Amino acid sequence: MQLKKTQCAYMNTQTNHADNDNTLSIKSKLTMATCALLQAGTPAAQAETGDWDIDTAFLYYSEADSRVSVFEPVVSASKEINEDEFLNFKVIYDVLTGSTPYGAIPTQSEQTFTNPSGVGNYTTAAGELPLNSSFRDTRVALGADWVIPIDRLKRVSIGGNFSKEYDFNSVSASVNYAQDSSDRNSTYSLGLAYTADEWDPIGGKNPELTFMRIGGTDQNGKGGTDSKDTTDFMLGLTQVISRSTIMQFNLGFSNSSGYLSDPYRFVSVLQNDGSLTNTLPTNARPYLYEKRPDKRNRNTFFWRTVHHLNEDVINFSYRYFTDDWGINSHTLDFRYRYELGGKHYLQPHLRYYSQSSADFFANYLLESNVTTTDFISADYRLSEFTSTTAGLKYGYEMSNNSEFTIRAELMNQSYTVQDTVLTTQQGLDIAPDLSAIIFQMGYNFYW
Amino acid sequence: MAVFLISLLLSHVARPDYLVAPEFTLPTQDTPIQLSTLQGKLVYVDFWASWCRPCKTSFPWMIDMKEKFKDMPFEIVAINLDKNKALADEFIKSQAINFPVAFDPNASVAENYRVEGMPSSYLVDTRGRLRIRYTGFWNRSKDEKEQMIKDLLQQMHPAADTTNLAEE
Amino acid sequence: MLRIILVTGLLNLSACASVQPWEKGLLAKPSMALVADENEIFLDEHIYFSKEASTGGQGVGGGGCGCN
Repeated sequence: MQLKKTQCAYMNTQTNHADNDNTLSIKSKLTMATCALLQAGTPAAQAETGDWDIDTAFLYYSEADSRVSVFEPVVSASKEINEDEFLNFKVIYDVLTGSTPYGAIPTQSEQTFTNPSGVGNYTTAAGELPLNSSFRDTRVALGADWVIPIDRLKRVSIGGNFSKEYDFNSVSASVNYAQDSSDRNSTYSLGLAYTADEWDPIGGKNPELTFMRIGGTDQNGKGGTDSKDTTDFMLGLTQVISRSTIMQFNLGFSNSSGYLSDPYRFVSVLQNDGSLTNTLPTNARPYLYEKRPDKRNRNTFFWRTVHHLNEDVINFSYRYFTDDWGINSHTLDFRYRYELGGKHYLQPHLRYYSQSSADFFANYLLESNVTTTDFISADYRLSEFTSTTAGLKYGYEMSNNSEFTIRAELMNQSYTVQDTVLTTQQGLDIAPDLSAIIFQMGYNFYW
Repeated sequence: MAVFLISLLLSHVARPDYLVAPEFTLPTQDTPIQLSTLQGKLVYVDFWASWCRPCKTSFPWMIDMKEKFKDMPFEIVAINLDKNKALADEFIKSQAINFPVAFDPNASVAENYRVEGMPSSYLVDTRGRLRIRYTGFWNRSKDEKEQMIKDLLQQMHPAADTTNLAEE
Repeated sequence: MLRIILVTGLLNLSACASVQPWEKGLLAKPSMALVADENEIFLDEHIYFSKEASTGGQGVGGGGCGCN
């Protein structure tokens, strides 16, 4: 097994803050991600032991309608410190701006909400999707990974990650063992990771399943911090199928417990005709803070195939995800590397994703059901939807073994409204599509 | 021949019965090379390819060994297994190779030698017998391999003086 | 459903002919890595786990030339 530059921490598990988050302000435990620890491969087969292999990339992500924008530079550095022994580091910085929906849906009237701080208020025009724009965040994440050879066929790697942002911290550690068959056509791997996350929300946690209070008044116990833990276990097999084909299979098991709700999100409480409820405590608004279960069990099956044609390479993957919140999803990802001859290539990319909704997801809550609700969330990311991405990447290899890449993609999410459309909701788009552009530039070199 | 070859090769213990190194005749950049014509010398047979990084890393060491033992009955034959000869030629040009490089694109010789990893090297003694096989190449085991070459040369020619070898 | 995929997949694997060490030239190419551009995959995963309910899957891998 040739060792590839980044011996990354195995787990590609990430945790959306509350398994949600305000989009990209997420800690990247997943970091070294994907790499497949132990997916060692010699960078450009020209680096000598002692060289640093540095990969830099910059992402610009931007959603339509003034929603979220993200600027995210990443730097990864990898070095073979002794024969077959590697150290990898990664630094990520991201800046989030823009506005995001917190769960309320459009109504025929203007709506007023309280800021997360509990002090100010903001309004949304009639018929518009309510968005909160007071959210700005910057995040820093660091990761390190150490790959230690045991013998010619076996290796272990240990990794750690740390991420910090204004309202959320995350620390994780992982360990991974990999063993090759004697003909090196198969690699078996086993990985374990533990993550501890802490929430320190602006204005404190929203008291679950209670009504939002008007800004500046008694906030009904809103406050405090909370935490959650996640344990991940993964089994993997990489198998050489032929001279030109290799496949990878992974089975992942993940268990989270603790505070899994989103501390900022809520759901609209409506009368039978779709207008906002009037049955409220003093100084309350018709929005109920969400509550998710305090445990979540996730399982994944992942399959990747890389196949070499005459000149070009196809890289295709499928992931099946299922959890005990009722969510099942399918992800298909396809990349076709089209060699332009010489030192450059074009790579079209297609991704298709579809998920079912969480059992406790609801577009809105009827006032008559408020007292009988155990768990509820109107977070669009837990709803039933499909997402399609199409993009193109261009790569150019320069003389000194460095490579420059650039890619542009378009992503679209389209949601299925699952609750009955009520009378006053006719003509309103309560779950409008989300579109975003993804733009990335990268430069990889040796130093 | 097959199965027993492997188990015996992996043993470093001196045994009375060594297997005979499979004969080969392969083209080089000059005249073809035939293993049996090297009888009487200690031969280091190395299987390599241009896409194999440790193979390329081993060349400076092999060049160094050939130079060091140049006054001894010691030969190196590097057998290239690239399907695309142009890639092999490109690498060969970048090195000051002081031993023959043979081409075995169909890997028939590699198969006869039961190559299990890239690179693989074999030490063939003066009587054409396989003495040691090395799978893979690591800088940390260079000294051990050099010592093995010295030991085998000593065995072959007890009177040979291996203490004053050509220095770099 | 998961089990069917798994079993079928693994059964297919056992039918694969063994690839010889000298036949791995193509597999050694950087473009044949399971993940050729790690930062790209990392950034993509970041986007998608922020906007979707599913997480994880990719993990570890092998491959390459199988040298040494």
